[in-house]
Amino acid sequence: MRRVVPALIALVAGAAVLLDFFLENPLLDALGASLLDGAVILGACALLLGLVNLLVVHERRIRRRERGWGTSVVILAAALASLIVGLVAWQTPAFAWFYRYLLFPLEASAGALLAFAVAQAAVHAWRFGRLEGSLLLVVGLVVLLGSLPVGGWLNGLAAVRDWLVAVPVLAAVRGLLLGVALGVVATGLRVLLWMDRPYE
Amino acid sequence: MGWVSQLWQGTYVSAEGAWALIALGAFALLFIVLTARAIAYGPFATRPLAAADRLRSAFARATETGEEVQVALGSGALGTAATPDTLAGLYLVSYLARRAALADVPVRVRVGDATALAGALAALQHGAAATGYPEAFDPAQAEFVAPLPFAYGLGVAEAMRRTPPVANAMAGAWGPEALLPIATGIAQGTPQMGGTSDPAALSLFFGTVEAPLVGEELYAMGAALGEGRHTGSLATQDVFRALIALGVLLGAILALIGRLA
Repeated sequence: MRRVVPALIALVAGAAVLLDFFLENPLLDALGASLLDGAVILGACALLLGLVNLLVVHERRIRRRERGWGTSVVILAAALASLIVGLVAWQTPAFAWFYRYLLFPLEASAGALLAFAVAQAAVHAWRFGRLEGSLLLVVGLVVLLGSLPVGGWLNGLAAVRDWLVAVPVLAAVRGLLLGVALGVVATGLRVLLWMDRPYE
Repeated sequence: MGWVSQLWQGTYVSAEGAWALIALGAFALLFIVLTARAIAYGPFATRPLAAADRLRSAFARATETGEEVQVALGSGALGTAATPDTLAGLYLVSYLARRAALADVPVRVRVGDATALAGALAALQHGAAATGYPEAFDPAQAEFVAPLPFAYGLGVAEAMRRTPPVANAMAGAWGPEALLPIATGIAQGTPQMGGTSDPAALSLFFGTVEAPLVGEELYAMGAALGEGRHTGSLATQDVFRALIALGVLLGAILALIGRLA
């Protein structure tokens, strides 16, 4: 019984949301919206779990003086500072300041590191004689150089870049997406029909 | 039957919606039939996945060295469009958790979303309990790193620098930030495997990790790791893939004939 009831609830809830996607029916619309609202509320509650996990993991690291425990001190201090600002001053500019001048610039800086990571990874793969790595390096260079607003002979590379993106890349992406879509449907059905619960 | 007609009142189905429902119904029917066949008469034959082999050998190495195996699930959440990718990653966690509890191997799961954290904790706890060693579960095995993708990527890379894992499995909803831990793994010489459904990020996996999971392979890891029931869904996907390919080919030929005529 302990297994059948949750399975039935999951099946009915999943089927209702799925049917709501395909059909327009007042009852299904209301049911689907309530179930999705419930999921959003549960997701928000899970954030508390995330915060507790962050505190437990880093407190333990600091207590045991594990390697890199200084970083854990900074992480805990930043998490607590965000929490306090969020609780005390969530309607003041201080809260927006936190995001605009601390979080987003840091996120953008991390994004900027990607170019170096791409280069490092491609050169590594090329050095070890992997065809995919060499291709990644060459195509990456063509796309980068072809995107430069310089003119001259680089204009030719822009045409190569456009062809690469419009023909082989698009064809590969469409093939991949077809496979992924079928995989997604199969995974959804496995969970919906209670055949598979990867979180157990 | 009055209540059925009452429920049906005011229902509208577009032509697209009706076709999609029919296709989904056919897929579900074949899926059930082939899964039942796989359960009753044994699994369908599948081609081996390099990522599954790498994971097994990495786990075997971990049992000897005592070093941790890392599973990074990306920034995806349960309950969003990233759910299938996150579930595929959670399947790896579940597989490793069951074996780790028996072999006393540390498995470290790093997530970028709180709902995925809940899933990972449940998988680890069930894995330990299912093998008869509930005490092997440690809540700190799953770490919530950061909710923003690049911060998450940097956090995972930093964690790998701090404690190099014996293997790095990255399965879930990843974007370009995947390259940050991958670059760290490359620098350390860590065996890496992984995949995602995002084509842009997948190209990065394909060129840089030893065993990439390309396209639907991400969802086939269950079958590759020995879950016989999953081969039923793989067979269903193969049938539908063949039908779609046939349709595309037929459409292209008809379009070509139309253009020539």
